Amino acid sequence: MKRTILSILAMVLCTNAYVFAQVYGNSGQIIDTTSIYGERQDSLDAAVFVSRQAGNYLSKGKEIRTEVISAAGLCKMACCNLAESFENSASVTVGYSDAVTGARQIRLLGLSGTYTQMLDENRPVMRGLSAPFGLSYVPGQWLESIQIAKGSSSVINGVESMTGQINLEHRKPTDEKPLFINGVIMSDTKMDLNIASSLQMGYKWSTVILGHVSGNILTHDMNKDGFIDEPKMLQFNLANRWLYQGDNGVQIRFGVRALRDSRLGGQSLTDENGKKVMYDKHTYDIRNTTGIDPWGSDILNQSINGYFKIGIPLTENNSQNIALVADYNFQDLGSYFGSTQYLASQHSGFANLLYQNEINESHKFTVGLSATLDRYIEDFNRTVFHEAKYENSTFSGITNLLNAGVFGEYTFHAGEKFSAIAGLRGDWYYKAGFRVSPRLTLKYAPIEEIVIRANGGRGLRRATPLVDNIGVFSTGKLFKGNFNEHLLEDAWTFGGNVTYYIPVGASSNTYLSFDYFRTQFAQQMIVDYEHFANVIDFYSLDSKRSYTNSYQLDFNIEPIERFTITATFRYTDAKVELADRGLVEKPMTSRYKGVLNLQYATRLNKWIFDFTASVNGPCRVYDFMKGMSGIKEKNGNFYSPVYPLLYAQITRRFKGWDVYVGVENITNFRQKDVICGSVKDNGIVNPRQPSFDASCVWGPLMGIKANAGFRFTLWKK
Amino acid sequence: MTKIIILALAAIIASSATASAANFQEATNFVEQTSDNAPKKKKAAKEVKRVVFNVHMHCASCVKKVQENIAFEKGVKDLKVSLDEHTVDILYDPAKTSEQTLKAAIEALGYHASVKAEK
Repeated sequence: MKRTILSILAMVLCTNAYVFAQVYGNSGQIIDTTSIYGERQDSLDAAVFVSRQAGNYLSKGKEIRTEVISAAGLCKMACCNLAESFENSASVTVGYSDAVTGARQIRLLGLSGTYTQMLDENRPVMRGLSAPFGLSYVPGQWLESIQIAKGSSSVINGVESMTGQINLEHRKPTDEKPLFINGVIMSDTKMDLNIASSLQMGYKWSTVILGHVSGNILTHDMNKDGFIDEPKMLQFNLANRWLYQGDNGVQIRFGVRALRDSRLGGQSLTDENGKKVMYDKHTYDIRNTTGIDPWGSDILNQSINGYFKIGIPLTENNSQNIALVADYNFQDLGSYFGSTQYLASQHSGFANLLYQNEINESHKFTVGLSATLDRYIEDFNRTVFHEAKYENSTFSGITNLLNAGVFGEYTFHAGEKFSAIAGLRGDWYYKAGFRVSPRLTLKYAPIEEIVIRANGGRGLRRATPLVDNIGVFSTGKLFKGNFNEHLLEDAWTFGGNVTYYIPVGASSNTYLSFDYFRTQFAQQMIVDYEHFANVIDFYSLDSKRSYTNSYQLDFNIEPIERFTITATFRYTDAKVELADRGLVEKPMTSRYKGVLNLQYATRLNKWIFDFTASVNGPCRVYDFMKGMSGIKEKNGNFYSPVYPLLYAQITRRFKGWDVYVGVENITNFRQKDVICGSVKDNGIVNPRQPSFDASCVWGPLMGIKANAGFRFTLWKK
Repeated sequence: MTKIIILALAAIIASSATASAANFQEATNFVEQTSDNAPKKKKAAKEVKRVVFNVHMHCASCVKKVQENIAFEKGVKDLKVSLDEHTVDILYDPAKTSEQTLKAAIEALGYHASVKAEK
């Protein structure tokens, strides 16, 4: 089967048409995000270049090391949602939070995605309750590009970014595409439908409407462990964004978004009538050990978001301007996991007032005020079977988290050769006091072919321990410690990057790049699965050590026209000092990842062939996972195996239409044992026991999958 | 398994390289054919013409719009769009289309187009 697929792919790559389209300029699309005065300048003055189809590439102009996933990169795979958009990237690793809910999580610089600040056109998003499923709520086809900035980035949007920032650029109201439709169906019956419509009403007003529906018809249990591999899902997502561009230079942007997502996962059992039965949150009883009463998770996420931005020039040439960014988000998470109930809602408000002054070509500064308010209303109730008795833990109530502060950022440019950005924030955190966060970024280009970057600074964020680690609910373990405390986590990240642009190949975008970053925590919420048996212990790092060193090598070349090779390799050394255990390798953190992407397009892009191979290194797994399929012991620790992942996609393009077929996980590699537990009934793990754990995911849950889709674009005439 | 992956990778690289080399050769011919002083070496050269239009595009979206639409016009063999130079450089088959048709196609997208004078 595998041989056949690979042979077909190789054969298809041999058949080429003879047409070619190229737009001069640098590779990919660089969108200059000025943040203070609109995210994008669609003019010749802006740093906007267009190229044929570069997918992922390093931005040459940015002061901070920034990887860009362009619109072409987002089309390399089915990319149904944001999580899947990172499959080509070694910087960002995507995994499942658990084997039940379908929640995805990313890792940047070897650390959980909660330490990466997610921005939607420079507004902080996916915070708190929105985080665990947030990656699934951004349809890939809504996006125009993604920028991944590593290290300590700007202080303008707060300092919640510890390992970096990921900024999402959506389709623009000014796009001359009154209709875009994308549909894709996967072999596991998952379907995605996206619609976008950009409309211009005169030259001042424009809007974009974005719609998304996705879900699956059937669910499967391929590894026959009694638990369905992916939950039953149904998502509706609708957004509307507006832009006003006044004659006097005033710009106003505002928009709304509404989302509803339901998912039901867990055990699928057969009752006495031969009917499949799934989890029922109303009737599930942990004490029912005899009847057919499947364990599962039932999650309903609903959210509404609204934002408003205004930029007002104070001088004719816009060298001075003020801007206001305001954002409100309501997130409601109703979640049930067996006998655990976590019902929570979050009101979040964010306001940022900025003044920018570009004194001359060399000197620019931005100062501002900002505030963030999070109001959590939580109701938690959990019963587990622990040490031969049923233990119940509950909490409920309202928590208000507020921080407000002032910031300033000074930018110095010495021509093209040197630039420096020095930023400083002073924030007051409710019940945690005043904190100062400095950040510095340097960029030096001694010659045109070499760019050297360095940056460092402090990051601060409030932990939301349960939702940051949503997988803990999919266990039978007892929670101990301060799992309902919103600890202020504190980390310093330093690092640098050297990129050498090599004058070979068919484009000017051949480069070899190396970067190193280190994140050191001064305070962190530790979620320890290993302190006590069948217990998840939540505690503060305090004076103990927790750090991550991350090394990455990137190579990009277009050896001949329209054939691009991108190779990246990342190595992570992550350590944490756990209670009563000392300094250990951080569990469930893959040591390395290598990605090779080959892309070939025929002339005029009529055929595009993509092939991505990745090798995923081992991670230290918990000791209680010993004996599970693929787990090996080394020096007293247990490790997951090294595994490959292969993806391929072929796109055929017509006027206004693209059709594509793809195959994911061609080698059909899966983590076979995804449900841990010492007690089994008929070979299936009993979820009512304390050792039950469905959150120990280190590999892919889904095997080989095929997909077929289309994109239709109607251009404005 | 590893062998299969390596073999597949090798096959893909080799096949793409072969295909690209063929296309590259054709692209080289295109340059030769379109140069005023280049001798007309091949029969196929007679079937290909080149025209450069000045087109007032002002942003990356304009470039994409032109690229995505003109690439699929009948008879277009090659296309290069420059935002810096405001030009759309087209290689086309005169038996299937003409300068006027291509100009009209660009203008239908909402841009003014004029043939760029040869230097």
